[in-house]
Amino acid sequence: MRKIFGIILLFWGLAFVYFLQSTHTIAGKPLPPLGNFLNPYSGVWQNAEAPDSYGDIALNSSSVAQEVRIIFDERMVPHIYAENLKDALFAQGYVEAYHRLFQMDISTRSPAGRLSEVLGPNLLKYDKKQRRLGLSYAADNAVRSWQQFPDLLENVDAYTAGINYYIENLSPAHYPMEYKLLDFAPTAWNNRRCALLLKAMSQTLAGYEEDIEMSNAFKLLGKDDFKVVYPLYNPKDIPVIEGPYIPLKNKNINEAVVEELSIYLPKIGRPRSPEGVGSNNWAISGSKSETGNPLLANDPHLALSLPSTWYEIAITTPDFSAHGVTLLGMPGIMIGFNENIAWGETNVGHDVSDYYTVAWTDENRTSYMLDGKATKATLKIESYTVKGMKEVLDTVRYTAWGPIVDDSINLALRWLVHDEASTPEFMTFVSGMTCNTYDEYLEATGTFQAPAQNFIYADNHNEIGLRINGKLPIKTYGEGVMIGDGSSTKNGWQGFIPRNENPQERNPTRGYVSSSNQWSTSTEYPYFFNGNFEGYRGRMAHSVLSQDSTFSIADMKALQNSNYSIEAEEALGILLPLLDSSNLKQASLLSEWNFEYNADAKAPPLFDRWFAALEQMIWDEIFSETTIALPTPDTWVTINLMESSKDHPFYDIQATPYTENLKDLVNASFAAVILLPNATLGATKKAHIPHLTRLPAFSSDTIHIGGTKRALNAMQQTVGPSWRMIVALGENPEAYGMYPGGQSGNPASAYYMNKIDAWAKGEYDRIPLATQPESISSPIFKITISNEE
Amino acid sequence: MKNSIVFLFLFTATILCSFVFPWWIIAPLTMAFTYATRPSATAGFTVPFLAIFLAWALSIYFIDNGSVQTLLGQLFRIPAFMTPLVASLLGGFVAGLFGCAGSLIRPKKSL
Repeated sequence: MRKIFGIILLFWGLAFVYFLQSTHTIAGKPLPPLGNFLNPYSGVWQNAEAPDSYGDIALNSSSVAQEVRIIFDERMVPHIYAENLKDALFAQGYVEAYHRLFQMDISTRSPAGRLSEVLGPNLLKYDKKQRRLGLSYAADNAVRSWQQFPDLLENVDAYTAGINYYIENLSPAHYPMEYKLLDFAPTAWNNRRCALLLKAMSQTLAGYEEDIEMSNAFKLLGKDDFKVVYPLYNPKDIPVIEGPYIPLKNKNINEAVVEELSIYLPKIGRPRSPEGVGSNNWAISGSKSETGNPLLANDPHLALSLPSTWYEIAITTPDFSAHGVTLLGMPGIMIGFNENIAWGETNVGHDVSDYYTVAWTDENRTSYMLDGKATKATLKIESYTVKGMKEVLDTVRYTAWGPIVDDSINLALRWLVHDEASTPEFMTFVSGMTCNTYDEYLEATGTFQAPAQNFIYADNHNEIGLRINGKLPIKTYGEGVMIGDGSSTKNGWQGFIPRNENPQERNPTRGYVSSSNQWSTSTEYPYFFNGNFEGYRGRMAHSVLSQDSTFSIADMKALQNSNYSIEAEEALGILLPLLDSSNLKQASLLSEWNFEYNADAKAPPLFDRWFAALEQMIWDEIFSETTIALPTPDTWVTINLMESSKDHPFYDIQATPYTENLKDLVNASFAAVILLPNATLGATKKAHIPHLTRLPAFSSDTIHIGGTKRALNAMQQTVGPSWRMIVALGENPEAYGMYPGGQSGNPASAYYMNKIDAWAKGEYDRIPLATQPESISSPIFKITISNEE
Repeated sequence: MKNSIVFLFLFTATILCSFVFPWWIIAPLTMAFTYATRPSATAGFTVPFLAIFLAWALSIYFIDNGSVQTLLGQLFRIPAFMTPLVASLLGGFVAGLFGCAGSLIRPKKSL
């Protein structure tokens, strides 16, 4: 009997261990294998990181030619000291993996369509969309084309080797805690994952297209009204490059062949970047600077996340000493400065993603008509290894245009991101950080392909410049706004704009260059483009920078943190005079407002609600069509229309028997929102920074912060300034920077989100350029990598 | 006295073995030890339970500076101070089950 009890207990013991070794879902929430996760010796406790627990590390690797020293300064920023570039990039790969391995893994699994492999079937739909958009295919094309540059590719090989050196020497006990929680292990890095990261960046920044929505709108509204609601260009905008432009012999003025829809098309499900992502950069020459030398400022705005998008790093070799931020997974410094120059980027936003109709010749959709001939489609079988499921297969059809993203709609995607690289694009930020003059910088960054960026530059020879840099397709007028006719290759892009004809300016007489995601050029530019642009922030930057005065570093900080909204100023200038006297009394909050989107102000949420309600009434022809995928008219279109006409037919609300004018709508929309409870912007916004997994435990608390997508401080709920940098050039560059997060990717580290409070207050860290290891005053610890056989 | 020796041995062996083997090494370890030492069924459960509970709790106390238990508290929505106890209870319970099974499975000495 006793033995039977023993065996029963043994059985229960084994069952309990099995339970603790398995994943479970309780109340819809997945649980990790609790035994692995909670035991003190290899579980999550091993991720504890006490501030005084860092000790020096000595490593040995045959991958480095000479000793490399990595010194982590008091802000946990690694300073790499190497004798040559490849060793430095090996160390860069190593430290990035050291601090951010999980982030790097997930951010490349996402474009690869491999999240369901580790996170389960819930992510399969997302993965399929990513593969059908061709991101994995694009990475394959990139890596294949990179082979043309074997000598240069050795730099990426070194970077990849550094990441893998870290992974190979990582014991399961020291896996980042997210791996333990989600129960999977890191896999080896490769150059393809670098390409995937570039493609993910392109998806965020060069994924704009509204072809289906615009085509539907054209069908719904007709040509004349379509031009009113969706004009291509805001005449009030100040473009990035005002011209004059290089004149062309043959300006391409032919109208594109646009496919007229017979039926309304459904929206294609595709992951999109959030609306209102807004970055700024500007550089002012010494003549406008209090220091007498150029100042450069850059604040890229992105969807914020923890761990932070950026990683601060310094790299020194005998040839250069650079400091800045890097995008995890790509070698080099993307935004930063060295002893002689400073550089940065904002997004350009041209539409390089177009849909073309496909006429299949057979039921199985194996061939389609192109240039009058039946053309075979390439069938690509995508295989998904889904956690907890059998292998899932999906066939994607590729045409000469590109992939069929959604099998229910016969449209093929022509996306620049799919193209092979004709230049060593992977070297852009490696070579860029080593430059000393603008000519060198233009040559080094001329390799960049996509997503096109406004590359800004300043140096201590008093040169400033800005180039819209990247591969830009040559389009006929209007091409890419709507769906194109895919029956003929003549209807597609006609090559690419030669790089020297990309919009650019160098040392302009006005004494500054500036970009804030607005239109790249005026309509005088000989090539057609459309895209995702935002003009208000650019106008704000120009209104300050064009003043006849000199600017200090403090002025630059104030400008980056400016919450002033020209949109609100313009809109209220029209709206308030139209209010009836009874409403006007209740609008004192708005009439006394200074148009600053400050966290403690109550006027901004009221204005936003009012304007949104008004837009719903003005564009009821659009918003009432809930079954058709239609684009939202731009805010500037609404404001310009209100300025130019107070009784336009669009003001008439179709659902009423009356004929409304603007004054009617202004008062009705105000009455609809004024009685709602009103809180401060900070309380309304509920700004926060989520972890990549969206787990609240790893995410920030609510942040009381101002800003709006139309102000230079374009802080929204979870989208905002991901890195603010200001560099005063000179003999010794004086630099400042800040980003919302911390250097470490470990949620248990004191350096995980230690900078959020300072960032939210608009504060900056001083960034000294430590050209010598001895100049780092209070290092936390150091890693030495030697090559000792 | 015997129970104290069992306790000390399991306490020490758990810490030493766990750096090399997976956490569940405590299962065969405790079972083998109670099988060999033949404690009573009650002691077969309680002594391994206490030994592993304490070994885990003390290990966590020395490893964690409080940052992990704070995160776990938020993750599992329980007070942070309870998370090391929950973890240690799991380890202790596994040890107790196998310890008791080991002591019961071994036939009693015939008189």
